[in-house]
Amino acid sequence: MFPVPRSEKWTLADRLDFEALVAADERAGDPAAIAARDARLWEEKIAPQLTPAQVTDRGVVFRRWLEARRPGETLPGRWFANVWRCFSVGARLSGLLLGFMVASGALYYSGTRPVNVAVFLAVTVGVQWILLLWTLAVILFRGVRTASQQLLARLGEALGQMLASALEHLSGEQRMRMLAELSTLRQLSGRNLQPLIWAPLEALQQFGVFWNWGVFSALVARVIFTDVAFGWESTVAQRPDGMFTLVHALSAPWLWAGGPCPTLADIEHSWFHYQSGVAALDRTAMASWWPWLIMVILVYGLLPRLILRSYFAIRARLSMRQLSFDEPRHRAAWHRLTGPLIRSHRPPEENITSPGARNTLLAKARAEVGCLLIASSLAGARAEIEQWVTSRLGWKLACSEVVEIDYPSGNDAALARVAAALPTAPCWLIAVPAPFTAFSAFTQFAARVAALTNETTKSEGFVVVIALDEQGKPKAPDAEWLRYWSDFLRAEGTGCVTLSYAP
Amino acid sequence: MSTNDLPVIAILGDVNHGKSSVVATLTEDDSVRIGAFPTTTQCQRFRVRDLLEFVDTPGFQNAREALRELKEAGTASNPLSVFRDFVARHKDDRFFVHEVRLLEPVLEGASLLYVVDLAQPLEPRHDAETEILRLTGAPRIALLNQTGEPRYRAEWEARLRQNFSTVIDFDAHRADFSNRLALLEALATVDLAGKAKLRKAIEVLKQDREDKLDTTARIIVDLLADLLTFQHVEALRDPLRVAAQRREVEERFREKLIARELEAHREIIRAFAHQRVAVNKEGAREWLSDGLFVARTWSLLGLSGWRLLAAGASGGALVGAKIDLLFGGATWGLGAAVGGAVGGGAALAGSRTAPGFKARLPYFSRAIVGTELVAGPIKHDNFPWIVLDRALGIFVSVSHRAHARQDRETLDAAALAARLQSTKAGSDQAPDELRRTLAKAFRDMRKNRFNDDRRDATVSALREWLREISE
Repeated sequence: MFPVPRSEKWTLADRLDFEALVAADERAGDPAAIAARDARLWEEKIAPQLTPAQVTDRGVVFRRWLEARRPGETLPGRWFANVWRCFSVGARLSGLLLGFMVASGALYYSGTRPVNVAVFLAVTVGVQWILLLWTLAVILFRGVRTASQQLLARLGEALGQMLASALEHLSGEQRMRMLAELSTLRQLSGRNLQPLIWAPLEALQQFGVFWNWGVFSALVARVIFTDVAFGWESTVAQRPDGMFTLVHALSAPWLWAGGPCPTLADIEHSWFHYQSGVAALDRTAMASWWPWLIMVILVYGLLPRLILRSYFAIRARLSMRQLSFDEPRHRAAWHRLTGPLIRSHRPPEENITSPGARNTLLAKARAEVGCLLIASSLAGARAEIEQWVTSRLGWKLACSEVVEIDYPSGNDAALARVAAALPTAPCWLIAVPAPFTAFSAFTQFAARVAALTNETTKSEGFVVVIALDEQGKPKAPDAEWLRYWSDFLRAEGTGCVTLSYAP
Repeated sequence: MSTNDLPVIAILGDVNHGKSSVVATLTEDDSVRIGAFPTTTQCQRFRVRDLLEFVDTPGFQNAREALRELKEAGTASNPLSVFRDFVARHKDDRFFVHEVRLLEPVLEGASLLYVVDLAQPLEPRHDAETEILRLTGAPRIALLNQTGEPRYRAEWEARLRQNFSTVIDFDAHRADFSNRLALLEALATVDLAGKAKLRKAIEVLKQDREDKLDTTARIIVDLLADLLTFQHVEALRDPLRVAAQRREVEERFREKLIARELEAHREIIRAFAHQRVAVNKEGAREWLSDGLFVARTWSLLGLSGWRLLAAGASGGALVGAKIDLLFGGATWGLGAAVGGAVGGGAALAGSRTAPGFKARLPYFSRAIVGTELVAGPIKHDNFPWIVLDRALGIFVSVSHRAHARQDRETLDAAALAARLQSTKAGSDQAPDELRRTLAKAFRDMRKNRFNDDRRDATVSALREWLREISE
């Protein structure tokens, strides 16, 4: 037995690895082997290191499970971390280079015409603010938001239609698989993919920060090592008072501390007219602009970027803490880890005194109370199915009903009894046959059951797929039918965990 | 009948009961997607030569619920209006997406073929399906398909006869042309409005079948004419190394013969629209795993010793008779007798053994001027009969093969011989008259006397034989 790290912190790479592993388990052809592997991991590597309080903490248990499974697996987390690092460095470098190049271009001075400060600021800081203001407008104003959403919706619709026509060319099984993956992605993209949303935004701010550093560097370098003249131009302005007011207003954040700001005289003497040429301007007045420009870049360019970057970084970290493990595939893994273990013999009594074994027993002893709904075509095997549920799942059955899953509006009496039992038995399980073809009817039936459970308490739904042999005895379904059922339930977003009957 | 005035036949049924297989077989289109899982949510339309339109519908998935709403059609003055209302009401309802789609052709006035699988149990939802179809009032036939052991035949038959006037056995994976025609005939008897057009379609399909037989006969006769006269000639590179080049020439000669035969087999497969097989580059090879020059092929196919002897003797006798004629009958028929004995003996000697064939394979020579190596043509008496049997084997396989079959068929020489035996399609089982006609044609081919008239006569005789063995 090797020690499993006790870290409970989740990184994005961890989460990706975890999702990849549970997804692979979901697609695995031999559910019994997967269940046995997880039961063994729980017994040998996870449970012994858990405190009683941690036994029911999915975040902790799954973290240990992940570490126990990582060796020998090829997982996307490390790859993602490396790619992300490259991307992040790339964003910084490209920001720095682009900022430097754009600013250098805007600072071009040949001696015949001064650098127009308005153009320089528009190119280096103004574009950033336009994007920021547009984002703010989307957030704050419903009209802009609606227009943006409509645009995105149209794009999404077009993509959806393309996808739908592409799906029609696939076989039924392939199409169901694709729909299932899309549905899972949609579910995951709620809370669980928040880190993936914040991370690119943070990277974008990294780009912005280094863009401003690039602009700053270009400006300083040009001022120190070359001769640059700054000025301003206008066809409509009659006097420099307006320009001075604008400049003064923009300087407000640093004026109180004695920061730089061109005087009215400086502005008047750096007002460029083609008729007079650059020789008519005052050299001191033209030079008075650059300290002010540096402050504008630092305060209006760099500072907002730093604030936004910090904000997104904090949100990304917070979102990692808010990750949940409530998806059906997570619950399936949880069920495999902490569900009852069938043994051919009892463990020696002395082992119960060890902390690991005590925790194990503690977890295994959490017998759940549930309702069982058996499809009418499986009614002949009712006794075996009930026995399997109580022995293999460890459930205490609050009620067991035979239902017609292809007749959603029927089953009133049976569903009434289930509804009565649900408050005390929040888990429900539907035993379904394989093969089975009335999937639309089942969707409607499952929606009715889900509506019952929503009226009561938070409940967890399971579907066990069962085949019948020639004598009508239950047996494990074919792997492809099990997979089809699993994909169907995922595609429909029922939230049910799919189990395979295994005698 | 549809708005485009073609008889429309909608194939309906539960998912996974073989609807798509029935469509593939009826339309002779093996590109129809067939799977264990619901393959489509849309109706797929397949037009057969502008005569008929088959509609592969998505299977029922919520029939019992749908029936609750459609029941009132039983008492409505215009039952289809109830169906129209249902379709309009549930157009965007995900619980009835399949029912809405499959009712579309019904509302167009299609005839209905309800497909059930006798290997699957009858369940309450199937009662709902048949009841829905009864309520449509459309002309309808139930097809008893079977994807496995037909364990539930009695239950299905009893129930279907309550709602369908005609119940037909139609195994989509085994149905041949006559089964297809029988089905259309049955449909013509229940669909009074479309009767005339269905009958016309049946006649055209029969003619279409005749055309396929004619095409196949021509392909086979042309193949034989080419192979029996084929030669491969190469300039001699080095007079001191003739042996090495002889092997090369021999190999290239074989390859060209094989390629020509493969091309003909592909043409036959294409004539019967088996794209799934023909589209594969190696498709035809897969049908016959033993090649043309494999010893097993020679030991199992072609004419048996005595039949070959008879064919060879008659050929020799013919030559002898000509000698007799040349001497004005002075030889008293000795020429014919000797010719028959020589021809028959030669045929018997090299009939079915691979070594005999090898010894006679290509004739190499430092041809007339001593600068060329010539391979072929093959003179072996059984060679054309073996080529013929292989082509007949392909014909029998594709003409009897339902387009619903998704598997790839591979026949070794023994399986091919067994199939020819079981279908009585081999050259050994051919009528004597046909054999005589073919033997004469082979002689004419070898002597380059196989003109258009003789070709047409041979094709005609072979076509009759193909018709006989394909029925």
